[in-house]
Amino acid sequence: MRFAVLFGLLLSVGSLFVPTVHISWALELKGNLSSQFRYFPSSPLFDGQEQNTASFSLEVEGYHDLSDDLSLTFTPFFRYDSADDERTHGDVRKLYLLWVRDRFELGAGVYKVYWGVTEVVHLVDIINQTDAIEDLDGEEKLGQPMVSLSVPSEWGIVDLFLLPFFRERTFPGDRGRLRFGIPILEDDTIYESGAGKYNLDWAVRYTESLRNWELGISHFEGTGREPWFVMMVSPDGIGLAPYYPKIKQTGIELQYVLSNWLWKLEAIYREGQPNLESELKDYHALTGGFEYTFYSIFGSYADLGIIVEGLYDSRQSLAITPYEEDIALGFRLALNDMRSRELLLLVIQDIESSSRTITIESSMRLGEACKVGIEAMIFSEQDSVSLFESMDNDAILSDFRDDSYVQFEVAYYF
Amino acid sequence: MKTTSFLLLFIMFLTSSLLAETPQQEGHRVFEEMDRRDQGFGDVISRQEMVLRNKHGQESLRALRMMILEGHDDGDRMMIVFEKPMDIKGTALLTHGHIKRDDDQWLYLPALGRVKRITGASKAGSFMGSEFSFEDLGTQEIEDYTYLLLGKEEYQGAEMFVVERIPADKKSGYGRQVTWIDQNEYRLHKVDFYDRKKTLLKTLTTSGYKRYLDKYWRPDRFIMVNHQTGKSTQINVSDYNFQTGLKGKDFTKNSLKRIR
Repeated sequence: MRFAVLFGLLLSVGSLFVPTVHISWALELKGNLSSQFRYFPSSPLFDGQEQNTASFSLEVEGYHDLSDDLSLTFTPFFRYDSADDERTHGDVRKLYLLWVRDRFELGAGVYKVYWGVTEVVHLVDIINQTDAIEDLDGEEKLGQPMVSLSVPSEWGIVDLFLLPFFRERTFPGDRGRLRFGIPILEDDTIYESGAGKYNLDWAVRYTESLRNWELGISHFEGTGREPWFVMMVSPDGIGLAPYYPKIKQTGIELQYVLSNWLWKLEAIYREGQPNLESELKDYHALTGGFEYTFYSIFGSYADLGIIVEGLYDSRQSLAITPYEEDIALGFRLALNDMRSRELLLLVIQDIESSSRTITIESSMRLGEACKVGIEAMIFSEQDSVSLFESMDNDAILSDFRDDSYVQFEVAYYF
Repeated sequence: MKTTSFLLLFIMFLTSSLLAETPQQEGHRVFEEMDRRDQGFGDVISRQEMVLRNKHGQESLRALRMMILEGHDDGDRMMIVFEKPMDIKGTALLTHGHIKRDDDQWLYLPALGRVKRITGASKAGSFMGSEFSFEDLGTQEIEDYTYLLLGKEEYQGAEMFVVERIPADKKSGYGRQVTWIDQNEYRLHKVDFYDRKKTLLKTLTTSGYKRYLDKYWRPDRFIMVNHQTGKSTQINVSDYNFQTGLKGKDFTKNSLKRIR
């Protein structure tokens, strides 16, 4: 009896000290497993390149609510490639703790942040490094370590980023297609910053939606994500060492929506990026155009979008980009059917030369959890003289001139 | 004599227009009453499953969560998070409804981490390949239509108003709609949708009405049949949660980016 009372007393006292924090342990998992085959009709241009390649990839996202306002996201990614050891790679896309309050959102860890409005070239987007070996469209990104703060207000959203660690761009290896003739010496990467990859980069962005307008203004200071290359002689022969300069970049994004029209503009002003003649000259670049959508064409549920975007870089022939004065024309057909069948045709035409790239993408769902896709990339009328021989920006794709390919992909989503 | 009959006619006209409503006014009043009875719901979260069927009987499944915040000076705000099919899991659509102008819409694409402003002009477009269009699912305002009471009749054992409504917006996919609304509780039971050529296109029927918070009636099943293609879509709502405490800040571009 006395024990029972004591026990009861202990229990009730004890319960005072038990934390009443409600921690929910619901872990959400999703992801996809994908196999991919790339068929290259033409023989490789360079020694050591394999003809075709097969690969598979796995991406899993785990999400976990630690409390009402605190969450953890973890997204590992891995790809195995049969031809290219460099394309066999893994990455932590996200490992991110996010604290959401009414007045602000504070995040820390590895994360992916997208800026921009245009469809073809992404000028303003600068937080994450491009995982260039994954795809040529520049939309695959490596996870970026950061501390981020987002403050919403009546007058828009202000985002601040501290970026304490630099991620190097990925490049194909010797056996891979879609590479330069001269090998990239990733082990000899050079940084302008004395702190190397530990330079503390920072960025700020302001965004606002005003009726039919979307506006974004951003500024970045730190090690540029876009490499320049230094010719080096290594024990293995001549190679190109990636050089990452310290840059300052200011960007604007503008979008105007009116019934079926989307008008888009992105512009950047960048200081500190060497051009092809190794000069440090400020430059600006613009991309913009429109997307017009015909809804429910021919009385069906299909939508047809027409995309027209112009691309301009003030460095012109000294730019290390293939898109210094180009026009892009695209058609996007979405059938809006059970299988979500889609088709995209995109042609990017250089204005001064005949250089042209054509992308065709088509996909559909199979059953409830699988998706199949066919993609073709055609490099047409490319110069046969390499960029590093001709110093001509149109030649940047010349090393890819025999690398037109067709890709088949099957992905399972869970 | 002539003067008096004119005067009589004039008085008759005056009284009739004062006392009796025109069919237009009556139709408008039915929907006004329906809207009035639904006011004050605050916010509602529901979980929905869509079964798409083609004319061969093949099925495809969609699952989503829908959050609606009641608008006061302007239209309602709506967030839709897709859960199935798996390849679009986590994709989310945010709509800020407006009265007498296009809605603002943003789409979140989780694979890219991108929030994309899209045109609010896609009213007539199919919602995810289903027989429902964006305008069928979106929140509707009284001002979006003109009304006409066609009559009163018995339907499914209850006395109903039969009201025609014609969309004011040129971008609507419909030329006219005929609606059946019960006279007791002002609930929508059936809609015949006519296309722009005034041909019967689709029929929506609702069933399983339940009352929430002792006030707000919601059906747990919607069936839309397309008469021209033989396809149909059934929506099963598993759950309505009213007045959960959602606020404007839960319907912003920032919340769109992190919604699960």
